Amino acid sequence: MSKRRSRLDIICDMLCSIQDKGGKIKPTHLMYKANLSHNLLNTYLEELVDKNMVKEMELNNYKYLIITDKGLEFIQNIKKMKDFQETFGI
Amino acid sequence: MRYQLGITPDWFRDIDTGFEVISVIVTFLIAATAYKFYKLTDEERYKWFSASFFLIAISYFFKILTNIIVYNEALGTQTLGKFTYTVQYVHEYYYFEIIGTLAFRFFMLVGLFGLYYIICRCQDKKSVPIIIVLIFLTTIFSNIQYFAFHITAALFLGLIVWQYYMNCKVQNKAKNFTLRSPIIAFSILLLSQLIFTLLFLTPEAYVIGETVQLIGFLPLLYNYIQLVRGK
Repeated sequence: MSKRRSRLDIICDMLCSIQDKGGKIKPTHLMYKANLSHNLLNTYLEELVDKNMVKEMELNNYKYLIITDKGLEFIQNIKKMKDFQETFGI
Repeated sequence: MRYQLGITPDWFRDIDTGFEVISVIVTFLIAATAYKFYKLTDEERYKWFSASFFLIAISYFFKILTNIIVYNEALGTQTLGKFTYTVQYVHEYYYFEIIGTLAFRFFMLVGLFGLYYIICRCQDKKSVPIIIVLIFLTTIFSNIQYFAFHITAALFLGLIVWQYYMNCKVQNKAKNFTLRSPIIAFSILLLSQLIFTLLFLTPEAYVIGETVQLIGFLPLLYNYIQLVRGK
């Protein structure tokens, strides 16, 4: 049985999903890629937009989510944090 | 009142202070990094890990401060066989030296205990105040028998090494140097504390202990650099 994801894991999965799609993704695609329900997606998305890690944009009548520099920096920091956690066993 | 602080090989004066400065830098960098991750995630373990390393950094800071003030009060040298030692006689700095040394020892032991507590993922918070009191008593006692401090520090370091070893064994990561380096670092630091206990045999044990202790911080510095470089 897989371990339940923490809040941080979910945020990281969302940002990584956007990054993997070249920094731009449709909300529905993000929902599938990050394995989230519609309600959870909206809750976390609201937080990410508030924290300026993701911005919403409309292109050709489609809503897109775009990762910001702050979001990319956050991914880098999370990767470093995981290395730190693994190295120091905390 | 004329208080003899102790004997330090003449050529090693100030070099040991340089060693402590490196120790402060390494421990402070690790504490700052852990604190940054705490701000990022709000996870308590990062906060306490950072606090533990910060306490160790503070302890070395006290040692540096004590060294600088006390070394500058040197009044003369003493020759024992082939060796010439600097002997320090201190009047007004007597109390400062005592307080500085006790602060160094207390913060160091609390920091090491904190590290062990985080690494072994202890859940029992009730025992923490008792252990802090015991550390305080050990610190006071170490003013009479200096080795009480080094033995206690060696005990905590031994527990930390054991816990890291078990973590490594369970996760089967023994071949990766970065993951193995905390074991190497804390083992060398453990060895340095054991060497310090031999001070009653020869003052040169202080030089060897300080050098080994410095070497012990190098794998931690290596880890920090690797982390910053993102490797």
